[in-house]
This record gives sequence, structure tokens and C-alpha cells, in this order.
Amino acid sequence: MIDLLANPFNIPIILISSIMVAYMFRHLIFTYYALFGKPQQRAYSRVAGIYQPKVTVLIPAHNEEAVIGNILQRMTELTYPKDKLEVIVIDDGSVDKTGEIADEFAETYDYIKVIHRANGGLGKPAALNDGIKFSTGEIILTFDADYYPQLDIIEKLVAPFVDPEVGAVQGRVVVVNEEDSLVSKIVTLERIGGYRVDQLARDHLVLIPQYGGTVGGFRKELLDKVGGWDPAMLAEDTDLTVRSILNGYQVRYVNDAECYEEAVTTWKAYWRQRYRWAKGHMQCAFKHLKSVFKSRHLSPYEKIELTLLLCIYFMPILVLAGWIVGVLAYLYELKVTTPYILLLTTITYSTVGSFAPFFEVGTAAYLDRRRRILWLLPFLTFAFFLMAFCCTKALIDLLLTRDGNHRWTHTLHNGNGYRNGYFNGNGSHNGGRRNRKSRGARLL
Amino acid sequence: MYVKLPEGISIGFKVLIECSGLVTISIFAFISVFTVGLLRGSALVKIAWLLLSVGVGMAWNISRLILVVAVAYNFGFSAFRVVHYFLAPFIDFLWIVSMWAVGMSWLRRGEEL
Repeated sequence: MIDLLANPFNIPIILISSIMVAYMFRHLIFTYYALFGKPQQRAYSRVAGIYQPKVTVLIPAHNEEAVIGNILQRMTELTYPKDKLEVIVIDDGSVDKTGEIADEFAETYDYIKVIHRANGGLGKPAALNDGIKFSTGEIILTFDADYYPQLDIIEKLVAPFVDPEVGAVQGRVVVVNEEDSLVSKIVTLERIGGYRVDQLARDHLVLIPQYGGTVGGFRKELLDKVGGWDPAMLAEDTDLTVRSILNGYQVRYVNDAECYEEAVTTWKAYWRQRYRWAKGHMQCAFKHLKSVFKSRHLSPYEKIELTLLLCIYFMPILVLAGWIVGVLAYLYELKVTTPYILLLTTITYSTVGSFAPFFEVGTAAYLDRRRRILWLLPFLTFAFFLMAFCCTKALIDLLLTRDGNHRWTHTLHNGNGYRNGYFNGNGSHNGGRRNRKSRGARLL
Repeated sequence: MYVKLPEGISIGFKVLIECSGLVTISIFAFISVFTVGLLRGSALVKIAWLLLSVGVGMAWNISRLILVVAVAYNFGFSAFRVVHYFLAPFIDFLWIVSMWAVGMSWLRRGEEL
């Protein structure tokens, strides 16, 4: 029997190692399920195109003149019946030509509407809530202004809503400008892992896929019930996902509903984006963890998964803490290496540090037939190191200030994804490669 | 192996099993059976990949051991302790993740051909 109190480092090491092992198993279970598992949920692809409720697409935009025209043009090309489609652009206090461009489209197409928020600029959730007030659709979908959806994405996204228990849906985000820089390549890998394995496995295992704030949507009835987006939350998407689940609705993920995004291309932009996500996720964790444990709607598995999901941005901090504790223990020659702890830390380091997450991302790229990008797998380390410090800063800031900073802190989109030829002449996507039309055709 | 440190004292180095890299290589080989081993693709490619991975892992770890002893010889015992602690996870990370990438890339290529 180990005397845990014999050394002050024993308990933190065991705690950190145990949490890491939990995440390791999560990664491995998801990866295996993506590889070999059969869906435990019904596939709704058969009703895609048959079930056609009235849909409202909300596009919040704040100074997006470089890209707003592209997504609106795409909206006019969608295959969903236009008499059942409503597109609402929420021009949130833009000082550039975003509003003018949107107005031009609204004059030409009667299903496109524009809301100009004079007192805008207070963030995406507030803009979306204003959009809901003017919406008439049964299903509300959201797209960011820099996104570029597949032509039949609406059919695919609304299909799961044929099931009355489904309250929200999420489609797949694919990076369009992966060749721009090392950072965009790393984001591509993260996105592939996050959607092709993580979200898909959660959907197949009847766990909780996450609405990611764009390329997805909700039943309007649900939004009315929970009061829409919470403007006080930085990660309003995660917050709404949790509130939907706590209200007894299901969230579904549709892997073949692809939408293309322009990823960040510099480390600075990467840091800012991840910092916001980390802070928002932690804010959600503090807000919802108690309700998750008490919820009657959730099974024990769902409670565990939702807890792990909400706490995911604490993980890099724990790794950093683990390193610090380990270094101190080693340098001061503290005898923490009792056999059980040695075994636990060895497994933890070997699995979390090298095996599970990287195997997950690698498997996703393998399943996606992305052979070349697999070679960049080791570069994910940079992102991993950065996240350890980024999440630590986010937690400290959140605890010290409790400041939501709910103004738009969105990433600047320059529209290079369109200008650099990632889309071919007819508007289809080239899979991150310039001017290779064959792959674009496959993705459509 | 005895090494004379800059401090003037001689110290004996013995490669313990937990510092040798064999534990990581064994875990890697074990997990590989249930990960890359289960992916679609030629068994021959998988075996070749596993042998190559084990070889690369051993080579990296031998290099690491040589390097930490060299650090002890040139910079003393304190530097040895720091480098020994930090280098092992870094070296292991490099070869393991790189070999994952190589393995899955080979298997995917095999399917495309």
C-alpha cells in the first residue's frame, strides 16, 4: 500500500496522471470508433432533400467586406428550394462596405434580408439574437461570413431535424487555405482530427457532438425555449450546446455537410483565436459543470463525456503543471517514483505525450486520404506547447478579471482563400491546393 | 562506464532499464499492434514499418544516451541531470510521432496504388 501523504508530490502526480489517462482513453476510444465502429445512431442521409422545412440562415458580419459577397453569392447558388430559404445578414456596426454589399444582394434576391445594427460591434451572440427576432424559419442555421458552403449543405444539415429529439446540428469545417503557411497547415490537421474523428465518433457513440458556432444550427423552438445565444459567454456555441443538452435535446453531427473556411495563417492570430476559445470554454465549464452532474436528461456516459469536453482546455494547463511538478521532483531528488506512480506516469507520458492525440489526428488524415499532410504531424507539437501557455493565461485572466470581453475579437479575413485560387472557376473547392479542379469536383 | 567530470571526480554511469528507452519502445510496439496494425493495408508494409520504427527508436535512444554522457563529461553533473530529464521525452516524442506519420502515410499510399 502506498503512503500517499509520505510525499507532497504524490497526490498531484496521481491526480494529473489520472486525468491524462482519462483523456488518453477518450482519444483512443474515439479513434477506434472512427476506424472500426458502426454508428449507433440513425443516419438521416436518406431524408436529405426530401424533408424540407423552412430554413433561416443567419450570417453575422462585422467589417467583412472582403468575404461577404462570396458567401452571399454562394447562398444564391444553393440547391435548397428558395421559397423555403431565408438568408439574414446581420451587419453588426460595420464601418466598411459590408452593409452596402449585403444590401445589393437583398435588392436582387427577395429571400436575402439585411439587418443593420447601428449600435453593433458588441459581439456575435448579440447579433445572432437580433437575427432570430426577424427569422421566420423552423430551423435556424448559422454561417460565418468567411465560410463557403457546399451547394447542397442545407439539405444535409436539416435532415437530422426530421427526428423531433434532435435540437441542434453541426456540419464539418474544412480549411480552404492550408497551403498558405505552416500555421494554416497545423490548423488543417487540427480540424481534420477534430471533425473526422472526434465529432464523428461522438455522434456515432450517441454522446455529445458540439455545435461549433458556424456550419450548424438549431430548431427555432429550442432557441426560444433557452433564450437564444447568451451574450455574456465568450464561447456562446459551447454554451448553447450544453444548454440544449440540459434541456433534453440531442445534437447531431453530419460529416458530409462540408463548409470551407479560411484558417488563420500566423502564430499571433492562432494565439488570439485559441485564447478566446480557451477562455470561453473555461467560462462554460464554470457555469455548467454543476448542472451537468445534476441533470436528469443525461446518462452517466454523457455526463462523463460532457465533463471531459467542458474541461478540455484545462488539459494543457495540467500538462504544464505536470512538467513543473516532475521537474521539481526530479531536480530536488524527491522519491516520488513508487512503482505504481512510475507505471502511471510512464503510461501517461507515453500515451498522452506521443500516442493518443497524435494517433487520433493521424488516423483522421488517413481516413480523409490526406497522405501528404500526415508528414506534418510532428509539427503539431508547436501548437501543443503554445496551447499550454495560452490556456494558462486564459485561466489566469478569467479568474482575475471575470471579464468576458464580449466585443468582436474575430479573426481578420482577407478573402485570400478566394483570390489565391483555392476555389475553381465554378466556385467549387480545391481541397487546399491551388488550381487543381479534380479534387474540387470530388468534394462537391 | 566511468566518466571523469569537469569537477575532477569520476562517476560511474549505468543504463537502467527505465532510462534505456526500451520501455517506450515496448509500449510503442504493443500499441502499434492495436493501432496501425489494425488499419487496412499490406501486412508486409506494417511489419517493415514496425521494424523500422523500433530501429529508429533504438538509434535515437542510443544517441540520447551518448549525448547525456557527453554533457556530463563536458558540463558537469548538474547539466547532465537537466539534459537527461528533458531530452528523453523530446527524443521519444520526435521518433514516435514521426513514425506514426510515416506508417499511416505508407498504408494510405499502398491503398492508392
